[in-house]
Amino acid sequence: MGADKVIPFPGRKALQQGNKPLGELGDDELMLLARGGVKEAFDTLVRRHQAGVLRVAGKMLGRASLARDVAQSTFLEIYRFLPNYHATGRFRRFLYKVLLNQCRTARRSAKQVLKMQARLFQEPQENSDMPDERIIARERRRELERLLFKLSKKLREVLVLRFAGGLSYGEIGEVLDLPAGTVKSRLFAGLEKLRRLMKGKNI
Amino acid sequence: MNDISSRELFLYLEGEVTKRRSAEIEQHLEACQACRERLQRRREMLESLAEPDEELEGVDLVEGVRRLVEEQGKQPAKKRRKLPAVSVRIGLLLVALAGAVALWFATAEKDEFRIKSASPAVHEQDRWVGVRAFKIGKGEKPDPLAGRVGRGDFLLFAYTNQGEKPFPCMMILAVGADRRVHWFYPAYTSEGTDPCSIPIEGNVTGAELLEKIRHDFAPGPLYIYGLFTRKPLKVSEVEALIKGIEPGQRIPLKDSAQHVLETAVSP
Repeated sequence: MGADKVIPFPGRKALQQGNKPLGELGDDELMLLARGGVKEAFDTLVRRHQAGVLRVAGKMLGRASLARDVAQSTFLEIYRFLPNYHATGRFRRFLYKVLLNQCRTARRSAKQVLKMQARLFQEPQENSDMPDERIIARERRRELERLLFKLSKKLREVLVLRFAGGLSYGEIGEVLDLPAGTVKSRLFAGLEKLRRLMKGKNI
Repeated sequence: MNDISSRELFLYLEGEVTKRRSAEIEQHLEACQACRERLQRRREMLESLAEPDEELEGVDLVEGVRRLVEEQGKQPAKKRRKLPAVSVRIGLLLVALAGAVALWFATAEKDEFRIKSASPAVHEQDRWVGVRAFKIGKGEKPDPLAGRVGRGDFLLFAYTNQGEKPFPCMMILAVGADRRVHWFYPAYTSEGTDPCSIPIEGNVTGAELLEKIRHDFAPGPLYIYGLFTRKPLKVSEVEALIKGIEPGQRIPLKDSAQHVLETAVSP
């Protein structure tokens, strides 16, 4: 039998930390405070995770405006879930699970997919003010995003969560309900396939 | 040493090779420009994958999310209709109450918590799990159920999950005198949803659950079930099984552990 332990209780912890700035509290503590009506706590959560959420949504959807909408609706879903949230230290996994579901729903709309493809295949707009290096990097990124859509959904989701979201293999496994070993094999299979596609395009 | 395979270069970039292999790869890279270039191309590929769209760089969602929450975020209050309205004051009170319960747990005698006694009728797995319920009445002070619960009382729970193979999933529900099923974990207050068991920690005693929850119980006997399972179950599955048993009886589920608390609701 393992040693007894008591799960740290976020409410008590938050209480003990007294006037500690919200930015220094953990995700679970912020969720608890948000549930208690502290609006700033939820703002802090949004601010903390928005960059990762936008990066993942951007890669999953291929269109910035759609990604922004999906990111916002993801946070709305999280807010709606506040009363049922269980503070088990898995906020990030929960967040990305909701985000991925939102992305899948958005992608199911044929209209949006068509628009997205039109955006991906359109010629990039020239911006004379942009340095050459940035233009090259942007083109490489756009081509890579286009090639990402040639991968199966299974491989694409793992790659995006790992590199755009910065999730660990364990976290990805929990988001996608997969064992960590499967996450790894999909990740390296996806990278290899993407690399081969890039080679075919001389990128 | 031959050129390093493409897969291994990715593994190296991800820090997924052994220290020894990593040193060998680095030694090879020093001597082989072709492999250095291959590695650099793969590194750039990973960097590109992590780069955001320039239109999304520096975007601040806070205002937009706030607006959405104000327009459409009212659902939580409806879902949790038995909980008090959310406000800062009540939120802080909740936190304070939870703290009081935590303190109460910390000072309680350990043997008060159940590791079920070894009666022949008890299933082997049931010995290592348990739930404990506390009521919060008018005094706002959590008390053990002690065989009786008031109709307007809030309930709080803690669980124990021990044994060689602790369970990953749990549900807490109550069956009343009117045979109605009241759900605590998972929360189930919206028609048309079918939530699942909650994930729990293993090797814990007296792990505190966060929420205080109130239901409108019918006066009379009330059976509170702690249902521990290997896989998450849906509320509908468990309700279907409960229909076939008498209140208080074991739910017919294989590879589960159960703890039933018998109490009574005051009129």
